[in-house]
Amino acid sequence: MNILVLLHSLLDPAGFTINRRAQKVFVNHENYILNPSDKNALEAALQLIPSPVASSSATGEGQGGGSTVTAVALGDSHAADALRQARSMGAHRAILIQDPTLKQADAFVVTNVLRGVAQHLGDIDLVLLGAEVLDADLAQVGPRLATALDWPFIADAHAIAPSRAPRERYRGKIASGKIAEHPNGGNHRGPGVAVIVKQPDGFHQLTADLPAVISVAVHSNKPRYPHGRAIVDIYRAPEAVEILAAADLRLTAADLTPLVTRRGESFPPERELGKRLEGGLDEVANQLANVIRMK
Amino acid sequence: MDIADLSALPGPDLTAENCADLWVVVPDLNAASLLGEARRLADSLGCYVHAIVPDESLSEQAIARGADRVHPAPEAVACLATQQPEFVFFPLAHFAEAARLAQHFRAGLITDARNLSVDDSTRALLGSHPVYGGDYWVDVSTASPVKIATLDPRVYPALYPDPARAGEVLPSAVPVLESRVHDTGLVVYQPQPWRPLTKAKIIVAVGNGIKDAEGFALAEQLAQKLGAEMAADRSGVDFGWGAEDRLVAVTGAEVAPELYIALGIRGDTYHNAAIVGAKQIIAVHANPEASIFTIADYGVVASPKEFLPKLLAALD
Repeated sequence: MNILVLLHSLLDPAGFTINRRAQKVFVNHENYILNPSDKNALEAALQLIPSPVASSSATGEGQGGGSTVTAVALGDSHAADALRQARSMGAHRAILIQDPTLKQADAFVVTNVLRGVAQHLGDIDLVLLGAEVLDADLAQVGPRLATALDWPFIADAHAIAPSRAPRERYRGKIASGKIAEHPNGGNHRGPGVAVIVKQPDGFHQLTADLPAVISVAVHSNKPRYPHGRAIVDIYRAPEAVEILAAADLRLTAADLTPLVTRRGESFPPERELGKRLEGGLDEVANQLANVIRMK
Repeated sequence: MDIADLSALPGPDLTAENCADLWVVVPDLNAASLLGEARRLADSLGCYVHAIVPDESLSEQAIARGADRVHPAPEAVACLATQQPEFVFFPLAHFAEAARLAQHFRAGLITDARNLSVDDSTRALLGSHPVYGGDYWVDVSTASPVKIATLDPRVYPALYPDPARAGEVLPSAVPVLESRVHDTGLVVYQPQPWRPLTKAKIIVAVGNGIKDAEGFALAEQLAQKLGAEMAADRSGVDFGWGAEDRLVAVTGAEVAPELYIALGIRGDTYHNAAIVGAKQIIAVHANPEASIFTIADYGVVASPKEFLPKLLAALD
């Protein structure tokens, strides 16, 4: 199984404070972290393949028994750092898409870039990404990518396992826009995936054919700590992260034009503290129940 | 969580000229507050509010709460893909459908939109998206021919239902889309528990004085008997008696349980500072000079491995 994982690096929330009076975000320490649910997505990918790169091979070749985990990120040095973290944890390849035209990329542009990467790599079976992105409206990239690639999408997975999916027509559409023929012909049982998601009434198991796009729920697993040796070797090797530009992905200008533009920041009003609920006990209980339901 | 396969539908032909009206997906009555927001915007724009409801039973309610035209359709996205909406609102829970439609229509999507407004000249949808869990909002605008937003029903007040409002119910022939994701039903699943130490009532913490796996097993037995959480101090984590998320220290978790039992923990300043909030501290350590005894309510000078079997027997 070949897995593509999308990573996003963002400003560490522990490093800034909000000053509502000045209507500004004050960055005290400019630290960048990997988006937490992206880390869970990476961990889910590493758990799905038989043997991730455990040690110091900077180019990640020759391991994994034919399954690979490729991490991809858009941006510059912070994204490259996130990719090196992913390599140290065991990803076989890391691809950085670095291009000045992507500075204002919104979810639509990120989706198109990722579609370009999946087509460039050619044999991706599964795309994993975090279910929530802390600092931008990018959680929509998952379903958008599924539509762009014409693959099924499952949101907020808690556990993923390979399985045989129910009989369905194979609809892979990776290579050049033509519907790729599955080697077994139509109406077969192909490789699939079984995913556990949380719904209001409990955990459900969903199945889908591969290839698919799945977003991984935050805190659904415990991301592994990279081996110290791996960190040293990956950070020392300049070739640990491959760099591509938008031109390498054969994207059109329309693909790279954002549909949503950022105007600035605004700050929601302060919480009102010290509110008293008046009335008899039954009434107070009802009011409190409403307050709780609104949460 | 209904994901429809849109590739079977004809591609959209949407430009600024042939898109009109505000469409709202109302899967249940909770989402009715979206109609209020839609009504507000539609009144300022002078366009109709269309509501898509799962079946006829919600039509009256939708009209009473602000819709002009109601379209019963089991799959909202299938219905929308055949129309030419200018604005589409989805409830927050259906973000995946909204994103799929947005990609199909080549439209901008604002998730969890707040402070919505429409620019008069460009007809762009302006809104804000909360980031960092709501710490602040990022203001965005989208000017594509179709503009889609997901709204949190809890944040928007619903209009009082007005039974006198008039509206039409328009049945439409909606293509049935096959879902490629199959729900096989409820399963029993125990997620890896993330039990923050800070919420535990009773904690059994081990340090290097626990000596070996045998001693650790005894500590685990004690924890099980008391219904306690296992934890470790820095020496315990370093020697493998606990993972990093079980660390009790100023750099790890600061805990304030009803009862804290420290086994084989010498008690350095980082650890001791983290347990000042505990109601009662019991310490077991072989070394009588250990600083844990200065802050413990009850101290036992003994090797935890020797003492624990006696303690376990006494607790039976």
